[in-house]
Parts: sequence; C-alpha cells; structure tokens
Amino acid sequence: MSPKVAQSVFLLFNLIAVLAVAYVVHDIVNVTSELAGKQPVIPLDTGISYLLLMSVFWLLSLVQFVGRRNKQHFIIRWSNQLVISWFITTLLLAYFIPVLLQGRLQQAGYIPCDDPQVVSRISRGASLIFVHGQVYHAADVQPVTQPEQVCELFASGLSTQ
Amino acid sequence: MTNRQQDLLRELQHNEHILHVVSAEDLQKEHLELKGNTKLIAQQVTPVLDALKAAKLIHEVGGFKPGQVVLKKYGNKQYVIFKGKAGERHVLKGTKYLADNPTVVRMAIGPKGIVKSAKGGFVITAVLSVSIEIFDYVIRDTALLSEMLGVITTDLVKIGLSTLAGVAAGLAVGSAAVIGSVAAAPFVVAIAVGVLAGFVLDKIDQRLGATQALIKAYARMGIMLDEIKYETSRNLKYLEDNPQFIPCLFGPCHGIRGY
Repeated sequence: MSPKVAQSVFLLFNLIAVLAVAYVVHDIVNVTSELAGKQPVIPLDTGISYLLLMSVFWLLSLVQFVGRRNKQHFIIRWSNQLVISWFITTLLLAYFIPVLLQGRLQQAGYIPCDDPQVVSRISRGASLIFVHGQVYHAADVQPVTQPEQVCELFASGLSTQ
Repeated sequence: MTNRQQDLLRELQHNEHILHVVSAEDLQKEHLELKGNTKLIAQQVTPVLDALKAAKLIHEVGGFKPGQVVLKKYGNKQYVIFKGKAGERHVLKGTKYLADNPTVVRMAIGPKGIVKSAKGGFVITAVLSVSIEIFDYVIRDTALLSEMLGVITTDLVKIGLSTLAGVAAGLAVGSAAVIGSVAAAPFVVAIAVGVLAGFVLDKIDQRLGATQALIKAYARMGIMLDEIKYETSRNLKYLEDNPQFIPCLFGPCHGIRGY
C-alpha cells in the first residue's frame, strides 16, 4: 500500500472511530435514561463497548502528529507502550461497562433474556433484552417470578406480534 | 476375610473405573448453557494469537523502542529493515530482508506477513465457529439442517469480511508515516477494526434478517429436493410396475407425450 493511500485509509478509520465511540456513549446514555424512566423492556448489547477499541486510532494520530515535528519526543519514544496500554485500558473498559450496566439493571428488577431475533453472531458480547419482572404480573393470575418464565413469555409475546 | 479374598478385593479396587452416564437431555442442557461460552472462546482465539505475535515481534526487535522495523522500497522491491543490534535478535539476525522473505512473513512483519497472519486467523475462527454449529446440530434434537447451513454461511461471510477489514487497517497503519514503525500498532488496529466490522455486520444481519432469509431458502431447497426425490422414486416405481415403458426413456413412444 502506498503511503498516500495508507494515510487516506488511516484518516478514514479515524473518522469511523469517532462515530464508533459516539455510538458507545449514546448507547450507555440510552440504557441509563431508559433505566431511570423504568421502561418495561430495555435492550442491551454487551458487545457495543468493544467499539471503544477503535479509539486507539486517536492515539496513533497523536503519535503521527508529534512524530512529524519531533522524533525524540517522549510520546514517540514510548509509543509502543502507549499503544499497548491504551489497548488494554479500552479492553478492560469494554469488559466492565456492560458488567456494570447489567448489574444495575438486575438490581432494578430486570431479567436478562436472549434476543430471539439474533440467530448468528460473530462479534463479542451478547444481544440481550432486559425485561422487568413486574411486566407479566398484571396479565397473569399467578405472578411470574422465574427468569426463564419471564423470558419465555417475552419471546412468545414477540412471536405472536 | 482370607488372604485370597483380600488380594482379589485389592485387585478389583486397583482396576476400578468410574463411569458417568449422562442422559441426552442433560447433555443438551449443559451444551446450551456452555454454547455461549464456547463461542466467546472461539472469538477470542484470533486476537490472543495476534497479541502473542505482537509480543514475539517486540521481543525479537529488542523491546518497545519504536523505529526498529522500517519498510523501504528500493527499485520495485520492498524491504524490511531492522535497526538496533543484530546480534541481540534471535531469529532475524540480518539487517535487511525482502518483504516476502519466509521468516519475515512468518513473524507477521510487513504487508505479506500481516496478510498471512490474517489468513491464519480467519481459518482458525472459521473452523471453530463451524465446529460449534455442527456440534450444536448433532446434539440438539430440535436443530434443523437448514438452520445450521444458514448460520454457517452467514458466519463465514461475516468472519471473512471482518478479517478483510482488519487486514486493510493493519496494512494502512503499517504503511503510514511514523506510526508504521510502532511494532504493536498494526496488530492492535487489526483487532479493533475486526471487532468493529464484526459488530456492524451482525447489526446489518439482524436488521435485514439475512440469516433468517438464508435459513428459509435452505429449507425451501430441502423441500424441493424432497419433491424431486419423491417424483423420481414415483417414476421409477411406475417403470418397475410397467416395464413396457422403459424404451420410452430413450426414444419416442406411441401414446406418450412430452418426450
């Protein structure tokens, strides 16, 4: 790949990284506000936070920017360590953000159900739909307390729609 | 107890084997619970291998110091130039190698090295994903062949496309100015872009229902094949019962239309 093409592709990925990280932030805000609004059903994809890995492009842009001006700058000397540390940090964030969100949702009485629309998935994480345990209480004579029952009722409700 | 009895007892205890008999239902339940985890492990294999390769490369070029590996083009040929002390390196003891040198490619250095490494990653992920789906089909009573084929087809397409995206990102970063000399950068971006591409493809599939459509298509194909099989066996049975019509298969026949 010629340096010119490589630079263009690199810039394109930088732009995509902005969109990816914005999407992650938007999703976290969405789930939090839905939780605050006590929505009966809250979808949560635990794989979205892995898009934070794309932010490594910003660090690489900084390394390139600094490197073009001063090759002896500490950012250049420590570039390998910085890239690896950034990667590990985002990986840890990607792992813990959904764990935290799931914990909050479950504390608030939501039950995680598999998204029945997902048949094949290659990306990290899982597509979950959190259904509030109280949703099926009013409709049934016997209150539904078992998580499996709630998920089954939710899935059957979706298939009849 | 006599000595003989004690000896026999000891011998029996020595040759004791414990057999656990698991019912098919329990095995299916266990499999369904573990399927998510096994898929997760399969997804992590390639990034872990990439990380190991990056670590090996960093170790080989003498630590984290950047600018130790530089790609340069002389004439029409691309070279990988190693800086630093050649004697401290374990595998690549020279200072200049052609980019398609087998040792350089094996170490995942340079464009060809990145492509070869990605190919290996694709094969491993594809084999693991397909194996999990086949095992699921074999073990689950409710599993359908059309379902398995549909999932495998879309999985392979998605894995292939995300690998390509990862390769493109790795090549771009490896060839870009300044950051091209950061040994860990191509691996890290290949993983990040691969993850992004996989996620986007999953979302597109979910939105468009590509896998569902494929499963339906395979199911229809199965019904068509069944119909063909039924028609063929019905015609063969007819010919068995009426052998006088066999010559009609090879030429025009009186009273038979549609030859």
